[in-house]
Amino acid sequence: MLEVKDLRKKFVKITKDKKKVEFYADDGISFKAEKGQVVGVLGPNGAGKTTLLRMIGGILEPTEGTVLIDNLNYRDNELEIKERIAYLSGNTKIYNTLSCYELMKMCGNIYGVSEKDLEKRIKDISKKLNMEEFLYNKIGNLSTGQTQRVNIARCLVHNPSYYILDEATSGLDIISSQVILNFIKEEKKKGKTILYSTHYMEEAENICDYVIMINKGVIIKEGTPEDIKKSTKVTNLRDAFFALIDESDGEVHEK
Amino acid sequence: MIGLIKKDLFIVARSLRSLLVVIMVFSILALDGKSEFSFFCIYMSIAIMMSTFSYDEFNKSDAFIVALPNGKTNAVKAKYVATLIIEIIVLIFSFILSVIGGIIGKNLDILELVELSLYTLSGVLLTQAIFYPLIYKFGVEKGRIGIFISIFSVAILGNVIINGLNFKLQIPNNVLTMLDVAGVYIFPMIVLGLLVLSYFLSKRIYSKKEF
Repeated sequence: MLEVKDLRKKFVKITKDKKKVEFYADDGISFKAEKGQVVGVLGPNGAGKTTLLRMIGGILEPTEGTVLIDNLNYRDNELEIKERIAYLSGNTKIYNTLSCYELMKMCGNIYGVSEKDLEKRIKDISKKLNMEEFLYNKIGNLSTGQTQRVNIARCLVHNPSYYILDEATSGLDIISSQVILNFIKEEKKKGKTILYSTHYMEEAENICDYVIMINKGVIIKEGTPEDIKKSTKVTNLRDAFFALIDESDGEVHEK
Repeated sequence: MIGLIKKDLFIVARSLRSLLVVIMVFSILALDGKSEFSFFCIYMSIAIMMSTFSYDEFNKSDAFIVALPNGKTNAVKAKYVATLIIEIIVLIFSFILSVIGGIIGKNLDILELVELSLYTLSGVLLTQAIFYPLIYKFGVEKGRIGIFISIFSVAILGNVIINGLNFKLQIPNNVLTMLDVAGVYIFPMIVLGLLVLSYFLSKRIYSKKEF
């Protein structure tokens, strides 16, 4: 199980008057993600989704609060946790002079996968994600959709228990997005836990078991997609989100 | 950590092959007794390793690297170790070719080659010890500028002091010999110490960075 308790992250920004001002990108976030659950982290740009996922992925250190993964915390068990998770961001380029095969091999080596297992896994993964035709091509020569499949492939190499996917379908066409969504559904069936952030509410509705809506660093609503739609008296998550915030002042107005 | 070292070695593999060809070309000069040329190329190993920093920066791979089960400490350690591996490979290659060149040119002086190797390795390690914390602190581009400024500042300052004071050194021969011995055997140890300090400084800088 993944448990986030009262997570806060403080940053400093510089105002127009060149003054330094502190602000919380995430301010008291708490939730749980059970085994085999897909938890959607939804919100607009700047809501605090990436900061949250980076803290959970061990990339950013929280200002306050804790992240527990299988009852392990980052302070005492950083490496054990990182062996169990795979972090994927839509913003990271990946070593584009390497071939897909070379990247997967490199990641397998880093995670300590044996050479024998690694070759088999690379073969299986490339077949599953339809990568066989470009497996030995340089990543820099691939399309955006193909590159994202490579990104997914390198996450699969070490068979993690937890996936942290930060806007994994951002910038992808409908076919490439569907590959990612299908991958999420398959991993969920295997009992993996997936945290999936997106600002595409329709995607979240399609695959998430539980949803956390974030705006300005705080959770404005959480629950199953059905519960959220019922409580906001709308038929989709997009309308639910707008029902919870006012576009003009960004404040939460719960009906 | 082994995986991260392999990553960097893999990235530089192609450049390393080109460098070894350059060393072979320079080593032909060893036939004429100019064995020191091949050792200059060892400084290029630093430039090649810097390309791994540029590569990581360009690919915004810090977040990817930090998410791996290595920790920030191992990420820094891997860079230093990978650099040492490259430096030693190039040094051994240069040494062997210089010996061959010396044999063919009938002007082989093994002791001179060993001294040259130690001097060169010390110089390269010193450059690494200064460079790497600057790169970790300021990034590749600014770090590169920082090192050029620091080297030129020291050189210019030294020049101004010596010329300005009209200082003429008259060093006795026995002192020169002592300095030579110290340079070959003690200087590398001092530099190794500086390299260790440099590693701890880089580790401290990198551990405070957020991505």
